[in-house]
Amino acid sequence: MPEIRIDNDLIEHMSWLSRVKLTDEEKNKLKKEIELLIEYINDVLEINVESETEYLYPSTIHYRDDVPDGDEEKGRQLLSGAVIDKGFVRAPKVVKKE
Amino acid sequence: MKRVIDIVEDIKNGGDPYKPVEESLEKIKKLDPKYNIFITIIGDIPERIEERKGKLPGIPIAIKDNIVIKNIRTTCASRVLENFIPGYTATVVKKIEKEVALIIGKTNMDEFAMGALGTTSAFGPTLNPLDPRLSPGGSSSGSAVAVASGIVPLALGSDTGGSIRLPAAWTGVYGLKPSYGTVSRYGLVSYADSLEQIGPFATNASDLAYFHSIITGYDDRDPTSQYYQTPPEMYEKIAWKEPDPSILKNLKIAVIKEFLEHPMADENVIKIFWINIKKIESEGAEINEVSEPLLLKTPQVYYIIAFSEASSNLARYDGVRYGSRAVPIEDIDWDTAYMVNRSLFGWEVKRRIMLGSFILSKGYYDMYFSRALKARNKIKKTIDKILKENSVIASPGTPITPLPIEYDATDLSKLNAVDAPLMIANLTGYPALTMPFGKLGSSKNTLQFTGPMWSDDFLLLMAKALEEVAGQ
Repeated sequence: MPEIRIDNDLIEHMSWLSRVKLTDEEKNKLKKEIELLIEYINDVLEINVESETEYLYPSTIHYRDDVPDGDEEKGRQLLSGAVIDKGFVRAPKVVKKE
Repeated sequence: MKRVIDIVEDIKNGGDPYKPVEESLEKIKKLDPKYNIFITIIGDIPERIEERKGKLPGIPIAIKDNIVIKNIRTTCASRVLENFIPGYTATVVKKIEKEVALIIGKTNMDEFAMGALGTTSAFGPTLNPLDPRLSPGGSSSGSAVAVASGIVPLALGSDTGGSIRLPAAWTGVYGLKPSYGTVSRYGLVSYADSLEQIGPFATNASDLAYFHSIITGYDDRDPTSQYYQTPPEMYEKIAWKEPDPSILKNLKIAVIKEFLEHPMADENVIKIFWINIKKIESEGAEINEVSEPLLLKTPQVYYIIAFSEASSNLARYDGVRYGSRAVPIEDIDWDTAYMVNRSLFGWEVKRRIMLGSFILSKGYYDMYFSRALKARNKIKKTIDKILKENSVIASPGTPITPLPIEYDATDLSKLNAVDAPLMIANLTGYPALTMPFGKLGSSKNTLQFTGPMWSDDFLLLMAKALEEVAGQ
């Protein structure tokens, strides 16, 4: 079974991948808990799945066409927390300050 | 408690349509501070109530706070959505409102439906009315307690890995996880979309069938909704039908040994389960014990799939598109804004999405995620094999008694015993029903039945027959 090293680098990597900032205390807590969780899910690696295919959804997925309903209110409500400046939504900066 | 179908009859025959709502609001005043059941109380009485029309005139109903209602705050019990006001209404809520019911409030839950104990809510835990020192089960904790404490006769929950059935069992009420695709998920805030389904809570099998007849049906707005559906009228008929214990004759019931012999299962609960099963056997049912050790790994497979789907579904809560902002975003860069805003998630959500993102990352996708999807197929085939030879799979509603409210959820040993029998229904998409048997309002005397796809109507008929046998 491949071994995953649960160290500070891995915790930093997980935090970055999921874009969740952690405090130092949380990082230490996560290290312990991730170890337990990985140990638990590693049981799946023992299941022989050689002849199996991937199972996706318990139903057939169907898509509908986008139909404009002229309801501008919905759009406005989605933007309720946003800062609107001259008709544009203000977003964070693309370039990081050094 | 009087059945909803009888209250509706009374109201239609001239009874006071305001009485159920007034009683409900009175009970909220008394019990909500005690058990922390609701996040938002609504209680707006529909004008049409006077007409006594619809299938639920004036019936108060509680809705889990991950199902949206236009202009009513939907929080998912998270600080991230603390002030989120949706701009549309979920299909299930529209169906309920059409029947002139009253949505009395949005119920407390585990944050984003992640948790088994009802303790991860940013609004504090919901307590069990059977014993406030104990967990009521999660994640639909508030909905189960709203029904169990008599505040409402009906409530909606969502079930991703047992989140309706566990709290139903631990509070001693009825809960149904319907077949996947039979109740619209449009307006349900997604956690793990291949696993979750909205479903009803009630205090008896007739009301469960009646409520299900109202919420079920194909919905074009939900891409996972199924064209094939048992007609809703069928469930309504079941609600009114006299119980027929003769359907138990020649019924083949499978019992999975590994679930009952789990080292963490409560001896007394298992003993009671066997007494109950023997009683059903004495009605002519055939009990078949089967051994399938693979099924004990159901929770591990579930964790990989659910956490991965969660990491994707919750990516939208970044404080820019959705969700609260921890800091003003205009003066910082995207990455910092996302990372700071997303730190508002509670601990259980954080660890699930972090592990999920990791599982889906390069080098681990095939090792964990792809393998879990294959294992899911294998589990489904195992369940299909059992259900080919049996009508249903029976287990205790929960193999352990409710855990203390301060239980450490990182201890997975007991949760494995709880999760395995529940999660087979989510991995397969099959329906499962949990009900009290013999003694109402007890967490020890409960049964769970999992049936094949589309067998929701049979499970409800069976529940009615079992109520009769148990003298409920």
